[in-house]
Amino acid sequence: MATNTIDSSSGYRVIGTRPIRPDGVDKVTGRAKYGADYALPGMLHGKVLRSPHAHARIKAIRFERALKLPGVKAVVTGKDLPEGENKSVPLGEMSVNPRYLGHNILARDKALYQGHAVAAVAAVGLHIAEQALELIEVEYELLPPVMTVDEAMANSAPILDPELRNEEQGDEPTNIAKHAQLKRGETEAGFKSAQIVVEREFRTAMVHQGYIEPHNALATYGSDGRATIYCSTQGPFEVRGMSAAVLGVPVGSIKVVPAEIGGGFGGKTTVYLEPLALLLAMKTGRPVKMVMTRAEVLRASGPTSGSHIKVKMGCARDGKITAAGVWLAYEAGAFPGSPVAAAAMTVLAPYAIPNVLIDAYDVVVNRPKTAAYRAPGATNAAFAAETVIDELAERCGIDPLEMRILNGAREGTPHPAGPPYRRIGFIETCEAIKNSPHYSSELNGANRGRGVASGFWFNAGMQSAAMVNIHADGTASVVTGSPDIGGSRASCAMIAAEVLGLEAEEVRPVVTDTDAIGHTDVTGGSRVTFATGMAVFQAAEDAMRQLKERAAKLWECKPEEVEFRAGKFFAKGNPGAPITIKELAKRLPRTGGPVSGRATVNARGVGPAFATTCIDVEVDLDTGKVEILRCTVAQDAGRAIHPAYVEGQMQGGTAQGIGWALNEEYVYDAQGRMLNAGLLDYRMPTCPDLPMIETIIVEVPNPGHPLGVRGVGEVSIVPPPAAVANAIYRAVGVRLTELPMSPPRVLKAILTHSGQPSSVPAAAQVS
Amino acid sequence: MPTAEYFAPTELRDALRLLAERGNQITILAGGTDLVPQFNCRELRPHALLYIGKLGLNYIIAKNGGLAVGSATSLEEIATNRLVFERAPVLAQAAAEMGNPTIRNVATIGGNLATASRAADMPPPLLALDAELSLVSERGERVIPIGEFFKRAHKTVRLADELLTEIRIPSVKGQTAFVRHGRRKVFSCCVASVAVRVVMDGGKCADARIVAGSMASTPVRCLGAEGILQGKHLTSELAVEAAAQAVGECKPIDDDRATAWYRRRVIKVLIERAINRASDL
Ligand SMILES: Cc1cc2nc3c(=O)[nH]c(=O)nc-3n(C[C@H](O)[C@H](O)[C@H](O)COP(=O)(O)OP(=O)(O)OC[C@H]3O[C@@H](n4cnc5c(N)ncnc54)[C@H](O)[C@@H]3O)c2cc1C
Repeated sequence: MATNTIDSSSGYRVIGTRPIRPDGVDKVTGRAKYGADYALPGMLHGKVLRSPHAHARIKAIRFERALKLPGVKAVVTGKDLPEGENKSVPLGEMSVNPRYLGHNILARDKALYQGHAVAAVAAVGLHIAEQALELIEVEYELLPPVMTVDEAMANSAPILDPELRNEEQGDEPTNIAKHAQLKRGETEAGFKSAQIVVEREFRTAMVHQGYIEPHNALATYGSDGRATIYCSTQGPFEVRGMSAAVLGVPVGSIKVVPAEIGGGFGGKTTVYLEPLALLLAMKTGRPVKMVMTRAEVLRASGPTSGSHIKVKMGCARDGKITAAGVWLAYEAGAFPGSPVAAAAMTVLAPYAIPNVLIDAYDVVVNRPKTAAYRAPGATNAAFAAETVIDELAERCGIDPLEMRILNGAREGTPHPAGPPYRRIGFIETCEAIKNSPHYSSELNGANRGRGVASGFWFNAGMQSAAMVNIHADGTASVVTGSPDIGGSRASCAMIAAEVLGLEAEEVRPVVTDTDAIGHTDVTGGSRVTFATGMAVFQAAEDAMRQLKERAAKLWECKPEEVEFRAGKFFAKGNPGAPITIKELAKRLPRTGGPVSGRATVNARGVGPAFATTCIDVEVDLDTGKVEILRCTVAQDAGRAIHPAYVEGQMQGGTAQGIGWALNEEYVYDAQGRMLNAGLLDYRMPTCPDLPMIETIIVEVPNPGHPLGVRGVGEVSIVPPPAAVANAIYRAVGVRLTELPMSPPRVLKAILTHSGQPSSVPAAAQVS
Repeated sequence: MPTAEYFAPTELRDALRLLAERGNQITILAGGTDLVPQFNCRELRPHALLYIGKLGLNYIIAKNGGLAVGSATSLEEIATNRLVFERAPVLAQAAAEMGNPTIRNVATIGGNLATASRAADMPPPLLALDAELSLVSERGERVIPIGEFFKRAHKTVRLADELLTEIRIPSVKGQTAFVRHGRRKVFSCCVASVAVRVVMDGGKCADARIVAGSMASTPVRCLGAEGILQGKHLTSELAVEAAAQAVGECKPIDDDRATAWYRRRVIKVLIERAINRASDL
């Protein structure tokens, strides 16, 4: 950073305040335009035929009858997509395998999960398109479904992809796409030197992000070969890149216009309908619109992995952890690519542990291909590790927060997968909970307990671009390519306002399309306020530099002599009155033309995020139902640009984490058909199910960011499942090792623990 | 194109005429909270719809010391109506705890009964209150006890030309309670529910109703358990005994909301709690 216009010693003027969000009025008055609100003249409606089977060979697809139905304009199948290369190519935050991506968009030889797209239709009306689907005949040869990592890893398991290989098994067909290992020190010696060792096994369920707005896409294709896609996405540039890869067209021929977005949580960082709508538009020469139903969203978009996890940890009697071994197997879904590598790198990240061995398995199963979900991979693993740490603390007779502080990572502690940490705020989050009114309060009453847990997330940097335009009246617009899923427009406007001496309301934030701004990576990895915010900061500084030049012109002095303080431009030794940005803006036409600041970043200096959460529960011993009585989360934000939206992220992540903890799961029958593909029975928590989630923003500035920002969007989802499990233990003396901790599971655990196992059916499905 | 004819008569006789002429070929539409999701998922493709919201069947009136409730009355209305509060509080409570506000605003009591879902919340309290149902057709009216209405899941004794017009709740004595167990506090179908009514006379239970919902394919009146309470002082021990008896009478099912094992465990607890609550133990 060359200069720093903001004098942080004097405190910020806009940053840290709570202005009304710029997108709020549009949203509450219905003026905001979401993906499904778009329509174009001559538009066709597309619908997808989906496999009713979890695992089947596609022997033939006959669609002549569908094509003959009046109003049907095109039918496409997997054969209409070019076969993509079977290798990993980097694309934004993630890497993608074009072959797998294409096969997920439209199945090729096999349907790999119930809901897998097999064909798509475009017709002049939605109902005609639906009717056409019924006229398509697909001949399937049914294969046995493989639903869990345990089934998939078994020796005689049916194989999903006969071509899949991993390095260890040589040329043997397998469902294990990858085995990765992280190692530091000598765990064997570490466990030997431990006085207390705890070893436990865990399972977690597949869960969905549950964004309220279903996936949608409207695509046009012109005779000039240029395409436009309007859709709800966290990553317009990823949609462009992935659609180009799947369809084999040049990246530059596609423009993606991101609509207002109704939630994403990581689930809208990939493509489902976008390439399909474009393929149908290319076939028909007309705009094609596609919108998923809720059941399609649940069955055929990307939830996050269920998992099987084993954790072994040892510590000295004083609580110092000497060694940890972690075994992780994650469901990737139908194609490789679960977040198990992230799980491996996050699971012990809050702690300084000398001897560590982590094994991570990415396993394909007959479930939808998983996608990112808020701190992908971390929550499953933290549920396991944070429960074991709680048990160690108890065995040592140490307060669970003290246990975390004793072993906690600080500046200089090596991260398990990388260099030592710079300044981080993990200990501070523990201290914040320790000193909170919540933790200090007494919890009375039968079957009540209090649990704590912590979590880590990397956060991401990556590429962003920004423009700051000065309007004729001295207000400004800030233009970025980052769809706003959590209040980032407000943060960007505030950062620009801070630099330009404006009020937040005087800066209008705009999220534009892929042709109108430099490449901007996905809204994900908690990176927007950090990286796009950094670009906005630099673009605003660029605008400020230009403004100073104009003032210098007016005053016939050198630009270096112009200063900007308290909203006014001064020149050293200039007798004239200082002028405001508003006055200067009027003079722009005559001092050189418009002022537009620009910046692009490939942001470095990412500051990791930590959160610690405290939860009180009450357990109904007779029904197994767990009630959340109180919940407080402390999280290191680095610097909270807009504290209300930081709190919103903390509360939202916590609410989702509590959903994982108590109720959410994909329920399948023996044939691999999902039984709860709707929001009545896929049970996310509602407001009455949650207390007001109390928040404590910790601010340990990130040394890598001009304003000290860390990402805040994800880490708060990580601790709640373990915090709830630990609270249940304190309430009723039973350790839960499976998510969700649904009433039947809790009841079963209580009965087994109290010596009444005979009343529990051995292998009953207790979801 | 799949299209359906739509009728929204304002006169009962026009509605009955349509039912007489078309029978199974016309689908009665009330609030649509059960039907519309089925239309949307293409599970059901109606040829014709008969909307009953304009027939004047939205009312709650005092009758013979009890209540008469029009079948098209919304559950929100039932949850907040003063008369229902006074004369059938157990019904008001069950209505208030079902679904969520948007659902309650349109869902009707008639639809809740006619759909005959085993997870429905209105049948247990109405059975506990000895309610009667009025079924009307061009052939006339027949009034049946609600206990005879349900045949199995999604099947009732209503004939194709009949409209459920009114739910009659007699003036009954006793204290009542409704307890439901869902996986969320709101917006959650029951895994188990129970409605209880106990009539006390000189410190002893003179009469009792114990009705379990969401257990089997129809709501179950637990006669054996009711018998255990009959003529006795109500104690929590007796409640435990009655609940244990009731579990045997329920024959719970396995489904994707819960296993029979879990239902058996929970219904026992709910019955105990409901008896205790109704008798202020
Ligand atoms: C999100 C959601 C949550 C829900 N939660 C609950 C819950 O917690 N508890 C619960 O009990 N239910 C619940 N339901 C189910 C539903 O809301 C209720 O069953 C409701 O009472 C149905 O009434 P309706 O007027 O909407 O019926 P409709 O959908 O209009 O009709 C239902 C059925 O009844 C028939 N019918 C309607 N009126 C008559 C009549 N007068 N004569 C003859 N036949 C008739 C119709 O033909 C149809 O078969 C829920 C539904 C949804 C969508």
